[in-house]
Amino acid sequence: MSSNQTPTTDNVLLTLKEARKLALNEPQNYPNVLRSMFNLITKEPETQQQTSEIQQLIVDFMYETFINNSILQQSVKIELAIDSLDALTILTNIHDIATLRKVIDISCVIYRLLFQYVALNDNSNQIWSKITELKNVLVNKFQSNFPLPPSDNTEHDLLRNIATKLDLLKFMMTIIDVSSKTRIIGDPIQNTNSMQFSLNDVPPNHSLIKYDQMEYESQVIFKSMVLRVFNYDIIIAPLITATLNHCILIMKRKPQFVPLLLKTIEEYDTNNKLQSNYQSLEQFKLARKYVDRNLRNFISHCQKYKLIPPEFNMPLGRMANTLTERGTNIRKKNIFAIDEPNIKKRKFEGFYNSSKKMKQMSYSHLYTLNDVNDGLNNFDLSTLPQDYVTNMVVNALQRAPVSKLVKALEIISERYIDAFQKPRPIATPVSQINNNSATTTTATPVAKQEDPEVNDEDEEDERYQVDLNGDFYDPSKVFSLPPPKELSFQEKKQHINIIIKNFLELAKKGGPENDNINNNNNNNNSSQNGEDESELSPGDKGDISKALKKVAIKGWKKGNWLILLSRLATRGMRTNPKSGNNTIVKQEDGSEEPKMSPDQKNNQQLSDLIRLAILEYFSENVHGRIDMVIEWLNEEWYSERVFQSNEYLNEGKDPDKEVITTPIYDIWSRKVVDATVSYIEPNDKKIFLRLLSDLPELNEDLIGRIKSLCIDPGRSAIGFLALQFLIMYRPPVKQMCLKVLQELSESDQEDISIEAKKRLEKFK
Amino acid sequence: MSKHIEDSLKICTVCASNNNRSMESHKQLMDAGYDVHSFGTGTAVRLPGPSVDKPNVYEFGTPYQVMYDDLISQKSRKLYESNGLIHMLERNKSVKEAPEKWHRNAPLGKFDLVITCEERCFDSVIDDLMHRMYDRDPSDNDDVKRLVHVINIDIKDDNENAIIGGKGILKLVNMIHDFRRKKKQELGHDLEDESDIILEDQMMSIITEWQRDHTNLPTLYSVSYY
Repeated sequence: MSSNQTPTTDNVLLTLKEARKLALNEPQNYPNVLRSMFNLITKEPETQQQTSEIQQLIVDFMYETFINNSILQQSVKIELAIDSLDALTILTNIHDIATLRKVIDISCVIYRLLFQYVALNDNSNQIWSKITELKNVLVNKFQSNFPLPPSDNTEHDLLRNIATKLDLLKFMMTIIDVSSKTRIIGDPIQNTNSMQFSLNDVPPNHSLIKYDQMEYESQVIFKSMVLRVFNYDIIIAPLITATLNHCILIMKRKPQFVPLLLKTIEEYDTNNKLQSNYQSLEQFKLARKYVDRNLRNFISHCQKYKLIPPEFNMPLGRMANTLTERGTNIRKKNIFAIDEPNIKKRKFEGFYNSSKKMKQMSYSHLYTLNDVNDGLNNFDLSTLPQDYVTNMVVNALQRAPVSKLVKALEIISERYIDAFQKPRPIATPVSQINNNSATTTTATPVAKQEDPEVNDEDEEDERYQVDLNGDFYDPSKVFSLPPPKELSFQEKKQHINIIIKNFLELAKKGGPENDNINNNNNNNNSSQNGEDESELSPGDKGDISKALKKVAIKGWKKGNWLILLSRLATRGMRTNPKSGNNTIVKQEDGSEEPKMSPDQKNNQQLSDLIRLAILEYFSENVHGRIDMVIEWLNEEWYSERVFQSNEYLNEGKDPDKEVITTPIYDIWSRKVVDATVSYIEPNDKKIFLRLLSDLPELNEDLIGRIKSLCIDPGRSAIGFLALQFLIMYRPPVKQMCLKVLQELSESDQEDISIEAKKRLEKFK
Repeated sequence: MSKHIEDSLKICTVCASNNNRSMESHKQLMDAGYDVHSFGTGTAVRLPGPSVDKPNVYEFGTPYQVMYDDLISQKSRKLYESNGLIHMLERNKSVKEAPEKWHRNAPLGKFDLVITCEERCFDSVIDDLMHRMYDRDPSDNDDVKRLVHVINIDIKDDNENAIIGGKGILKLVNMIHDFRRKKKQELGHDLEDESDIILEDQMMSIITEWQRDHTNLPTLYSVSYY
């Protein structure tokens, strides 16, 4: 073969197949063959050799290598696993589903192999960071439809690409199994091939694998990813049953996660779920039956093998009885013939005709988003007066949510592109356009006819129905909107969650830039001693409300989502309590909190949804998001103080003479510090000091948390450095820090005691 | 006569004794060319005896031929002939040697699709799969967990209903294998959502469509790993 010739795909494939044969026939050549394949994947920049076919062949061979391979010795497998990590992480982006699923299987095996390898070979920093990256890349795919492109709405996406999600679920459970402590519940496990390496087997003083961090991370994956399927308002039977069947592992081996799991199961009720727009009524009935049976089987298995903690025995027993009774009742009848008036359908959020391909070359097909069989499509608008049409269009545009309008335009533009890319003869004469009878397109919601009432409502919304028979437009009349209905608490909660979700999606799309502080935010400049008069001009000193009306966002920038969310949490949903309701009471955890009226409690619950979302977002990447969490907490502290000052003014008191507390800020800053402490590594001094230096106020509770760092051998340097920093640069908390040092100096751990005494001498 | 379906899933059928319902569907699927095994979940093989309270009981693994010979040699031979037992065992002999117990099938490898014929058998299979999740069989040295679809088709345990159920199961298995082909034919290059040809995404639709035509055969469904 000429050396000047660029290898074609066929040539590369042929070479790879020959290489594979060679490796299988002569095992001593196996490592070299496989490593050259890895190099092929990781070579940069990507060339045309990186076709899907080539990648698929390499994945197949990797599959043979790492899964049920008896040719290779374990030590060789481990070496090859280490060498494969870069290629494997790249291959997680392959777009062929069948191949991606193999990549996931390979990753399950390799993660176990190398977690154990790192645990037994401390200082394997590079390997550790690579398997961590592989883990993060795959876990994050669970919430997307990769490699399928997103559809027109999230409900539909929940029901697509379940195959990949089922395999990713398996990978996540592997992570949890390996990365958290194991303790066997009930009878001992009989077969030794079921006893696999886990966090218990990691040396306690390992420099890379931290017990608390791994445990916390496993818990986050379990709670936020694995158990998420129970929180959806629709039923995804394959995913729920698979999750239940897999979670038996938790019941048997991970007692630390059992209460979370059983609480979720206890609260789950298929009778409270909605029929999806992408399920027929029949599918929904079957899904409920299937999930109920699986739940009962799960509980029965746990009871039989004595896996249930005592406090859950009664509620789960009752649940099992309820489910059994439900199943018995269904068995007597044809499930489809059972009349169930309580079944409700989820509100439809998409388009009935969301196809991005032009079925016929005509303008009506380009623009039609209704059901293609909807008789409304045949209405001839040209019979209406121009004014009517104009007003109908304006009215429709005003009523359509922006996001929905954007999606609609995306679909139409895709169709337009499709029409150009695949030119087809215009087969339909113009005179027959209104008589088209196109077949139902893909992704059209099913069983439209089975819920006439619900669909009528949808159709009405879809058409933005206008009274065409009466006098629609009368310029002499003044239109006024009716007052909005008061939302129930549950509805408010729903809306808040939608807002949070949209903002977080924005944040994740934007990438690291979203974590930067917005320079327009003046509230970062609050002085450390809590005095905030300097923020106001002299003329505004007495007018607190003016400060709250300052413009925080003068133009949209990438970091604005945080400002919007934190303002919504701290100011938008705050209730002004009536005089006399501000009694301070001690909470169980020792923090002080104002006694709240029911309205205040509800609003704080709503605010806390936002706060929790921000905290969870921060926990996903503590290192890269320290700035945003500092900004958020400063906003909390500032708003809380300003509102209290305002309250005192309204009562005719002088705010300067009253005690101002910040219970909300205290609670959430503690959570942030806890999350930070869980995640920081010995090299993270700057991050931790930055947090401590920029938080507007530190109390004794927060200082006490540094103590746990000092006791941790791997991170005590950070802890002591933090205490030293605070003593030097934040005088208000100096005494608290000295107190902590005093306690540490009396510790029975000699090295800690010595270190503490040394610093005490220096700063007393 | 020998058919072979190239892309057949690995299938097994399961009932209580691996004699009637699971064997009838085993035979029908096998004749249609599918890769199929069958098992029982009971503690032992129970066949009708001279009276309701005196069944014939055998260990799993006892060859059908042995059971056949035993029944032939009993006084109640004519009863066994008239109630179809002899014929059933003759059919079973032509399919495989002996009934097999579900709980001991690990050496045979993993199945993609498990079809049970009774709700209690479905429960037993799910329970066993859960147990294998954390305490797997010594002969199971698989490096990864495999996905398995477990579908229950509730069939009454008599000869006539076993045949009806067997046909229903064959129909369902055909639908599971045909759905991708049909979609590709229907849509061709207009296949817009790959979800339409993913089995796990479409399984609920397939079962629902099948159930609509077989309302006398109630279903259960679960996805698991082992």
